[in-house]
Amino acid sequence: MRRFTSPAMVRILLGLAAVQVAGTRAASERPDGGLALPQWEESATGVLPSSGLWPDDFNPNLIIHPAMVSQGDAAVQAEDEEDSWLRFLPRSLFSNRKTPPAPEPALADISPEALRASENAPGDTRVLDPQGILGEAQTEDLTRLLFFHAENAGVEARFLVLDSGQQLPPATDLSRLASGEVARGSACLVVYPLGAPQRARLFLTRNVTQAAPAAYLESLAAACRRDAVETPDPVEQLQRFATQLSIRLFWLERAYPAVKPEPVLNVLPPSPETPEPSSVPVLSEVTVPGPPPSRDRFSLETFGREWLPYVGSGFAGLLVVAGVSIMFIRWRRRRHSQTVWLLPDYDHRHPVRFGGPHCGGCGATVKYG
Amino acid sequence: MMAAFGLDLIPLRRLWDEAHCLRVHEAKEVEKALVNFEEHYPQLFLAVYLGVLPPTLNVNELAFLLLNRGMFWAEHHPRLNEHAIVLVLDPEARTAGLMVGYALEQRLPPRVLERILRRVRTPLWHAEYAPAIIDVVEAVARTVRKGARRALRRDVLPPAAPEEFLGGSASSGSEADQADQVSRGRLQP
Repeated sequence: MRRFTSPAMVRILLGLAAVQVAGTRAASERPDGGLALPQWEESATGVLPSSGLWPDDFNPNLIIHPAMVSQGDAAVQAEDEEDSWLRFLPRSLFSNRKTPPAPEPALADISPEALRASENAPGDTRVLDPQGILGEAQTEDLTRLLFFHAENAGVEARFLVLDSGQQLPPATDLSRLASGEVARGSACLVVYPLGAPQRARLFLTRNVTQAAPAAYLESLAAACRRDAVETPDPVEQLQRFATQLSIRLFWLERAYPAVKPEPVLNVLPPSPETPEPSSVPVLSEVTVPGPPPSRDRFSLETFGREWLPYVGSGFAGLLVVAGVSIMFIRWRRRRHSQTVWLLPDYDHRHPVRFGGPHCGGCGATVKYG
Repeated sequence: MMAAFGLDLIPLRRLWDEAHCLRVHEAKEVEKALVNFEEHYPQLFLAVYLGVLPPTLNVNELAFLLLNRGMFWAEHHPRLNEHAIVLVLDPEARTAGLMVGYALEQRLPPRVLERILRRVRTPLWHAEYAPAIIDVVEAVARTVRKGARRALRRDVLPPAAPEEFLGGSASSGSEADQADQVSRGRLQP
């Protein structure tokens, strides 16, 4: 008895009892008797783990339980259908929205420095590209073409290349370009914005514009533009423009030989008393008349004003003809209905043939089939 | 030959379809064409016979018989057989015959009659009897018209219907007519 009632033994017994009581309580709290589930805290609601399935701009606050949605709740706004799809699909799929066209940028004048560089360029320069818009290879190709043209043609051609958004200043003296060689003899200068052949401008020396009719020169310019716009590549447009221009200038010489510059014979230095008259031809631009204004909308008033007299007179004429025809047909029908045809009286003098008192067998027979 | 057929008259109509080759509406069309022909040519008449002939009789003989022994019914006034035209069609023997009286021999000689019949060979071959008969009637009318004299019906023929002479009756006549009637004592003023 003394060995079983020692203080150590009592403490052990009490500990075992406490453990047993705690285990019994835990078992009473587990309904199924399995592993314990984590306990969610109230402060942790609304924070969802990132699992990669949700879109980046997903707002969990937008999730509203259907049971909480009331029809008269003004605060609950229906989401745009497209916006809801945008949360799950790439935005590039919804690019069919018609965006307003961007306004065309205003044209900028070429810089004075570039213009000055063009003026100071050597006289034999065919391609004036002070801004380095063209690449070296393209410049070389174009230069070779224009040099070949200059060797064989009477009207030279030179190009001043601008950027697509640039234009020539209004008061530019083109005769000073390429050290003044542009306006010597018979020459053609093309101010060409790269990528915009429809805005290319042609300038011809006065002797050319006086020798050839304006309509021919306009068709020349239009043909060059038309050939250039057939391709979308800007460099190729320029190449086609230059090629067509070269061909057309050859044709121009053949059609109007007076455009060729006169050969210079016995050039004598001018006497100091009489100043040399300035015979520098002026460059004049070849303008292409714009297309006639297209009538996008049919104007009934205009149509009526222009065509109504003809339509009315034609319709009236048809009515008159129809009326006269009907009257004639009726008259003829009535006349025909009242008309009889009479043969001369028969005198009954006939030889009786085959014993027939009224018929002598005068007839015909035909076999069919 | 006439003695062989006897002396009895044969009553005939304009259209005698013994072989029943024509439908009802076709027969009406042919009848209408024949009536029209008689109205515009008051001296003439044209008869058509469709029938299967016995082996001992051909179309020419039948036409000869009909013209000399036929008693054609005239609606308004008598017409001479010398001014008659007969068209005989034998659908079994596939022959057609066209014969005229003495008075029309100069206007419709055999070559003209043969030309008229040759024009309708194809329709007859296709058994289109009504169009063929109408073509023959129109061809005969065109040929006869060439030497004929044009006249108004009311100047030549008696009124065919009461409406033609009752158009100026006393109730609706002009004052001149009424005055004439009064002067003759037939109407009371």
